[in-house]
Amino acid sequence: MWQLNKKATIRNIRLLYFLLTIGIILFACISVTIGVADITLGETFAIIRSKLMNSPLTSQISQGQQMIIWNLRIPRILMALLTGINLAVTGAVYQAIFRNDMADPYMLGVSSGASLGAAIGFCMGGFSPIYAFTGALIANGLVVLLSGLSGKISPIRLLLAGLAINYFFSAFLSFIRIQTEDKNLAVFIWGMGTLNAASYERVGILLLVTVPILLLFFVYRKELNMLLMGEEAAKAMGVDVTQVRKKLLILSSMLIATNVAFTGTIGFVGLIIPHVARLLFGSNYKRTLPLCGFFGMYFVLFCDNLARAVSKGGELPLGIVTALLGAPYFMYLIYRERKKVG
Amino acid sequence: MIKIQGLNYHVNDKPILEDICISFEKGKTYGIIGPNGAGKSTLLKHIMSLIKPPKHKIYYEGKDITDFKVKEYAKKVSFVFQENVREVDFSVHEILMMGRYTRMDLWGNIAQSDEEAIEAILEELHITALRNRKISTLSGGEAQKVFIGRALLQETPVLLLDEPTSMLDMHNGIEMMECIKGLKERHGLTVIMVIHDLNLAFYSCDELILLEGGKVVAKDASQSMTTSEILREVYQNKLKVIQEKGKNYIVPVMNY
Repeated sequence: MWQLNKKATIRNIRLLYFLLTIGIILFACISVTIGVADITLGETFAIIRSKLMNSPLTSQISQGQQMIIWNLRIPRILMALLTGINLAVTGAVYQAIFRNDMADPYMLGVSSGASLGAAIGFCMGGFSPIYAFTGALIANGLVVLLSGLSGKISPIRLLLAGLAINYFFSAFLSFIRIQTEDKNLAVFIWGMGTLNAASYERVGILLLVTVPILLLFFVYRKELNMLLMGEEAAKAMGVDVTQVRKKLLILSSMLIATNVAFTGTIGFVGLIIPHVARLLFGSNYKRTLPLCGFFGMYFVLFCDNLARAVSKGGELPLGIVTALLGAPYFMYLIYRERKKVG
Repeated sequence: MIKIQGLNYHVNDKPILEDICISFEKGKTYGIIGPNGAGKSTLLKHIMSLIKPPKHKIYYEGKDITDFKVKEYAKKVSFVFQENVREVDFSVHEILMMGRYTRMDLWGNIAQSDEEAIEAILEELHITALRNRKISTLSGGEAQKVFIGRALLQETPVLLLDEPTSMLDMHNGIEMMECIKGLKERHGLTVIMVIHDLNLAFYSCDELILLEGGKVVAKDASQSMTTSEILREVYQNKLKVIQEKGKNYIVPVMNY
């Protein structure tokens, strides 16, 4: 009987993944039409078809429209999808390895590290993602080292270490801003998260980092499940906790640092999406991780559409929208925890 | 089977375990008893290598346990914790699957034979009906059985239990000890458990190790221990032995 149930569950999950895949493709197609320039879905498809099949376009579609769809919106949407997956999945990984529902890539210094790196890069002659990447990696590494990589990582120590590093790096950032006056406006806007610098080249680089790391995360799903049962329990069942944690932290930091270097800091995605996935489908990371990927894509794409739609003639930084939608949910989580304790 | 030679453990210069020397023989049930803070659970965690012992202090079948890889050692010794994480949304089946971690493939899948082993354990522990229930919805006794099942699924020759009855009432405590006794016989296990309830310890264990202040103060066959003077001293003479149908029972002595 249970075999039948199990098969039925597997079928349901596969059906869900299939529907979510179809859904995200449709959502991405609709998203391509959203923006200041008024381009219809039909015209969008015509542009894509002509680009893919190298066929001529009808005279009603201008070169400008073609450029907007092919060179601006499509890479932007691809970047949104990748960002959604990366932030949500890494958030879920962080929450399991620290056994802390509040763990989030940005809480662990990535944001301030990347911003400082970007600002330094700007001062040295021009912004380059490599500076942001290095900054994020250094800050994240310091937080992890401070919170005790080899021994038990206490959630409080982790949050305090994140706080200390964030303050320290932010102080440096403020110092640089004061010294360079308002020349760092681009870095400031980048710091709030934006997808407007997306290009096929950047999507390609991010994809090259994302695919192998996500694959490794999927291999480590069983260990992540065991870590949820506690460090000692995981070890007693055969998980080399120190090694697994080290590897996952290095992989997560690399993925987030690369992403942040191209998009700036986009908060709350890694915090709330894993919560929603767990709330709807349980703790098992075999399901949670892929679902986080899907939900992350939907959420970031939705927020980016909103960022482009609400601001006439321009766009809001994506990080502002994710924070406006994510922060209330975070507050609700704190309220729920308070009620539990009370 | 397991040999401890001169194990010491200090925390901030405070001795927690001092010069522990014990040998555990194959197929026996050992109880580690003693008052609070005696170092019982710390000793058990050293045996499981959850607290890494110094080199050449604990041996498993002649091999230093620090030379084992974590996965390799989890095939030799399993552990049932006093308190387990239960505020997770895993089903009983998912928890039991974790006991087969060392046999999982790269993607976390287990073989049909492992599924059959899980079903057999569910049946043996009489928890088949709980198979698809969430662990967070089970009672203390039911959950404890699931965690024992998870440890059994590691199919290790040695089973360690840290106060397996501490969260249970008297009736469930006795039932749990009977269950452990049956499992030990059927699976040919060596059992080492930390246990607070002295009567349960006397009647479930072959040998008892009495700890006080991090030191082994007595090691004897269970029945001999009931009349031990050292036991009375360790518990500050607040114990009394009574006889019932030829068996010794310990009762607490109240001074009011």
